[in-house]
Amino acid sequence: MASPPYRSPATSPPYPSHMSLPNPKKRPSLTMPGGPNQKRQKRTSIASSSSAHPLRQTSFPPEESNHDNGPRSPSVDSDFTAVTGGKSVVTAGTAKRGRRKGRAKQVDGSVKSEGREKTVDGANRGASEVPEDDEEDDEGGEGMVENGEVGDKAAEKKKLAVLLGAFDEEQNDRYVSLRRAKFRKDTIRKITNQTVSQSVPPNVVVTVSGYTKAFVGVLIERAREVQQQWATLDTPPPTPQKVPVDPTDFHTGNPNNDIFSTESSSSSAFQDLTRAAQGLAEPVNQPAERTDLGPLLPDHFREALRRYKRDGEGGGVGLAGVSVGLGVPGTGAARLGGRRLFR
Amino acid sequence: MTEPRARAARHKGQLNFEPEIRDMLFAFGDDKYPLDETVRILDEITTDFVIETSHIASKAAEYSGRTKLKIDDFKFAIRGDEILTGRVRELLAIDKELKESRKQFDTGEGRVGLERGGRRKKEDKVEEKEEAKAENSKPTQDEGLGEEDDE
Repeated sequence: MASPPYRSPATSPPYPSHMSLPNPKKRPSLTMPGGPNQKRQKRTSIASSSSAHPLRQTSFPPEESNHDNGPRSPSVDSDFTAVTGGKSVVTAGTAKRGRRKGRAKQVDGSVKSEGREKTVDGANRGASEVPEDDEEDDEGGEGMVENGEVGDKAAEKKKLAVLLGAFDEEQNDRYVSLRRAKFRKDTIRKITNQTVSQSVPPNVVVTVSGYTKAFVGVLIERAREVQQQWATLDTPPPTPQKVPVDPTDFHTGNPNNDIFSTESSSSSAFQDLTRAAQGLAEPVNQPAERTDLGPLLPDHFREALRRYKRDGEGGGVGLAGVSVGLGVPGTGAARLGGRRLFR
Repeated sequence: MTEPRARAARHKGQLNFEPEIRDMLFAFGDDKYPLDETVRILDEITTDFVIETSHIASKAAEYSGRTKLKIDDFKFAIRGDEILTGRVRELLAIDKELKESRKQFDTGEGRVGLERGGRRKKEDKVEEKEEAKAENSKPTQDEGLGEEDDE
């Protein structure tokens, strides 16, 4: 047909092609006299009631075309944007908890996992509340702050207060240092500016300081793990090959870090001491209690860094072509030996 | 954008982050008095990390056709690491909350240069982020943390 069947030239609704679509399906349900005119008016009423913006979606699948979604974009109502943010934080919390060992480590581990748990709960709860929450329209992927989080905060604060009250003096000192420690802004700014040959905005400097501190924390924790694993060995072993782990499985502890520990659940402290006294090189499953192993050594950090790169966790460390040659598949620049492919 | 001049920012016999690294080593579980070599190596690792993430961010901006870097470029640079990405999101969410709560209290009276509203806002964001960090790092008493802190 040259023109859509049920329209007269006088009405001329904004979207001729869309309007013809729901009509065939609607025809059986509308059993009215003067059918064509009725449908035309219904169509125009729908068209006029919604926004007149040319890019607005005004035609919907037949079942839903009665709801006037108005100016709201459908993607805001979906759970996807909020849940996606929540998911990434869940994995962060789980991964960190999996590596938690030792008293002092428990300080920051619990703090960080608490902080993340709360955000996760808030995001998950917020996801179900998003359709009713009109204020979060413009947040999109950044909308981690949902109304559902308020209730959680009080509970988390109470838990934190209980934890802090139970600290002894050393733990308290550590916690104070944890909160206080931050990088000097001008040093970070200097390094960043020199690297990118421009002056970066100040909030970028704040961001970089923030994630650098997190990185340092991760590295120190890994170095402590290495220290505990090497405690009973005479010479540090070579870095073992990576155990292929399903990267989407975040629930199990990373087996790449358990290579040195045996599954001897029956080993008691006495047996540990006996073995150590006999100078056996056999690795022992160290309990969570950290006996005083002394300060961390540079070797621990080198091994921790090697494992960090091997596991491919760090997207941003040593893989950009500045330091090449650790056998980790990096970006194109690294593979090409530092030369850029596209200029 | 240039190639990374990694060694240009290298300390000439002096550490970039000496006191901060010492504090962090203690905070995250090392001894109260860490070894000097440990501090040195961690300083080098940290400097490299900053340089490389900045470099990735600058490349991302370049491929997007921009010369000026934005926060999004840095968020892109660390996208591979879940812990860092989660931390950045957390910080930005905290700052957003702070801004919202400040908005309610602060009517802006008596603020210098309020006529140039746009300019002021950006600096406010930075100042509030700094204050957020300062507040987050205040030592806690038995009562726990203030209302803005949710770490």
